[in-house]
Amino acid sequence: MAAETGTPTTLTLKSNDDELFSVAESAAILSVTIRNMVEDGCAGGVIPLDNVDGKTLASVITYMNGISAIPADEEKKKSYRDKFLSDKDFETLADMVLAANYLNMSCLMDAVSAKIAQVMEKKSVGWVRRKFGIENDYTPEEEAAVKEEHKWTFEGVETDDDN
Amino acid sequence: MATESEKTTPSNIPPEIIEIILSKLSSVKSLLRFKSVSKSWNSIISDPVFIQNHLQSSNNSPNNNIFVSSNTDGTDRGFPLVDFDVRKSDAGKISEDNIPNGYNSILCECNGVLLLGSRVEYALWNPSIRCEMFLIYKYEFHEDYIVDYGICYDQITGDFKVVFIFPTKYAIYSSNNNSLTKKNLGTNYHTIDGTGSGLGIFVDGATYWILSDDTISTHLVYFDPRTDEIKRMQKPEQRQSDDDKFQLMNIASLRGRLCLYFYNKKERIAQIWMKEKGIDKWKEFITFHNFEAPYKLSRPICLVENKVVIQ
Repeated sequence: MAAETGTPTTLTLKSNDDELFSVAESAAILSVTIRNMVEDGCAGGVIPLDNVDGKTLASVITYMNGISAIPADEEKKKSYRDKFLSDKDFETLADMVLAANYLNMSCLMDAVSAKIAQVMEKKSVGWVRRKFGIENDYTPEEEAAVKEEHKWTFEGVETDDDN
Repeated sequence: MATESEKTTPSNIPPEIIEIILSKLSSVKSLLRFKSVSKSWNSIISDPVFIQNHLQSSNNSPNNNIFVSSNTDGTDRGFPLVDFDVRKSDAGKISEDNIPNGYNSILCECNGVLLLGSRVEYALWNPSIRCEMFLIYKYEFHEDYIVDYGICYDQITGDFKVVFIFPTKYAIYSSNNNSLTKKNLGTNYHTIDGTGSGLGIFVDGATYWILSDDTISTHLVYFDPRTDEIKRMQKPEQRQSDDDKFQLMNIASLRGRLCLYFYNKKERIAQIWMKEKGIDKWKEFITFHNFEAPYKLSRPICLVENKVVIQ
């Protein structure tokens, strides 16, 4: 539409709790989901993102702007991603991995899932169940048997303080 | 931060994303521990395809610079292990308490699985899952001496095959079938001048050695796990002629690719050639001039960023 000449196009994104965000199209199309909508011409008005809440979307947009401002230099992009994710807690990371998946942003998806894996590395089984909301479907006997089989992997695990 | 995370609204991450996250866990120890989380986590982690992919991504990872010297003799506390990083190199040990009884040397390595030897027998050992498997008594080979060894992982059947090369024949031990097969080489092979055994390396789906024949010319040979045959592979064209001043000294796996290490003693030039994945195409990777090889046996062992570590 009006996108041909110099002026950068701005898109309006709407979170599932009805917050509106403006973002440069050049940054927003890091999301393949958004890019497809733009290419299909559905981006004229407001783009509703039904699976992302406002808090997470704000964070994702910060990332989109930050990463697209960096020229093609993988090292610098990587260090931006590391820094961007460094102060995020587990719940935020979990929201972001869902958003990255829904928005189809592979670079964010890779970085966030790697970060979550890194956070999990020394955590206990109980911590993982709680954080991921996973129901223990083993019988006590089965659980004891799986644990016994890999007994040594329980050495050096962090004690269960949430963080 | 502590107060904020008190809210225990568990995230609802679907299984396909859980699988992506688990595939990024770098430690096998954590993966094995998380088998206890639930039945569905156990089945994700136990899935052969998942295991294969996890292995592949850790092999290709630029952080994959942990290195156990082949033909390493152990002490009663463990086997030495070196971890190269960008700024430092760390010497460590493989879990001393868990070395299976009586094994005192590492003969070769493939995908993290080691071939161990004791005075009387051979075994395969996977230190990251602490699992060992007895293979064979040495007396079974009494009639012949071993030129070299190698382990080969058959990706399709998931079989670790151990290959023992003798001067005129070879034996393959399949750990899936628990069976030993002997075959003829059709030629005579020896270790190349000045090197011992333990040069067999597994890379890109096959196990490679450099061996010499009776005319003392050196050959790059490989074991193909699909056919159980040992064949020769062409060296790079530029390095094929007999009056070439470069001598093929060693082989290595750098970032999951097969590399040949040549040395021109007279002009003190070392050269590394790299084979492309999956196809027989060689590319000159690096040439060092004025390079005094520290030992005759020296070999490139890993890449740390843009530097080659040579042992």
